[in-house]
Amino acid sequence: MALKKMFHRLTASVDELDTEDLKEFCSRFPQATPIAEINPREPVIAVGEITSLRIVPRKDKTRWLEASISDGTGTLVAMWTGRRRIAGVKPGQRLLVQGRCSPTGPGGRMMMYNPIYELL
Amino acid sequence: MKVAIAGAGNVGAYIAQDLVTAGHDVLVIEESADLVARLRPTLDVNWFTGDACEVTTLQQAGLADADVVVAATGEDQVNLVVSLLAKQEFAVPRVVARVNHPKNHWLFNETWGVDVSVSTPHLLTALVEEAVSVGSLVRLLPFEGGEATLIEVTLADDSPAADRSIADLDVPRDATIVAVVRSGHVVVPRGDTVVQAGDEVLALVTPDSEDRVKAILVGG
Repeated sequence: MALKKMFHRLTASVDELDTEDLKEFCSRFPQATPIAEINPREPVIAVGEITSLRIVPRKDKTRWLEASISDGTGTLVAMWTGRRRIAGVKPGQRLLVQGRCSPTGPGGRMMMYNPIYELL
Repeated sequence: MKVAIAGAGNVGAYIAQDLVTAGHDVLVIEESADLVARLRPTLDVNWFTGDACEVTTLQQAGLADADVVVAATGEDQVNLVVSLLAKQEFAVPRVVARVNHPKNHWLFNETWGVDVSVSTPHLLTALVEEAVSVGSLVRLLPFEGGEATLIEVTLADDSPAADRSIADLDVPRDATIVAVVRSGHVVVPRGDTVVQAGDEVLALVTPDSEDRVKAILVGG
């Protein structure tokens, strides 16, 4: 069994291993719901890693901070309105977010506005 | 569809009545218990008495499963707060807000959670313009927070577009002619449709292409 596991770690792609690590990390939080299983518009807690960060320029000259958060099962989008940066919120950061999602993000992804967040 | 309306004033009550008649599931949130008691016998909707600016009220009222929220109170500040809470706390897919004072219209945007703002004076201006104008461009309805606008032009006799086919007009890529209304009939526009003076041309334009479309249809 150990040999099989070692073989897997040697042959699997880096992406695959990263995803497994991330999934393992996220499963340590029992209060969190896997992103793929989030129901729209219910209060929810999710854990994941910021895969990309975008500052969205808006017509009214404000800037919104958009973070794509992935936990290996899916991706959700956290949007902080009127913020251009938040200390600690950077690509690769693992965090816990709490709020309500709606499937209105880019490509129908779950979108959470101004979630309560906790850096991990 | 489940619609929640904040404010049971003349506007709110009227919208509620209309939507119930149309077969929607309507919830009205109103602060004044007297008003609720007075309207309840005549208006067959779900009532909730409470301050719509309170998250707890909205939670109890069941905003979490509303498809549309209409902020229809007579106070702009209340409408803004209701819109913001509906969008950010309850992730309501569509938020419609009433603008009471035209000077506040600029505030009613996505930042405050408003998807569609309705301002009576602005609507009236657009309709009056539409009724009296031949040969000028009238903005009827903004979409996507102003990224696209439905415009209308009634072609004057000296319009550069008169008696030309639509393919010939060379409309910019980010604009489209959506309909031509000719003596009460809607003509679906195709490349070979020839527009005439007196036709009402409806077009969807972006802020960038609006001037170009205006030049094509109105001239000058």
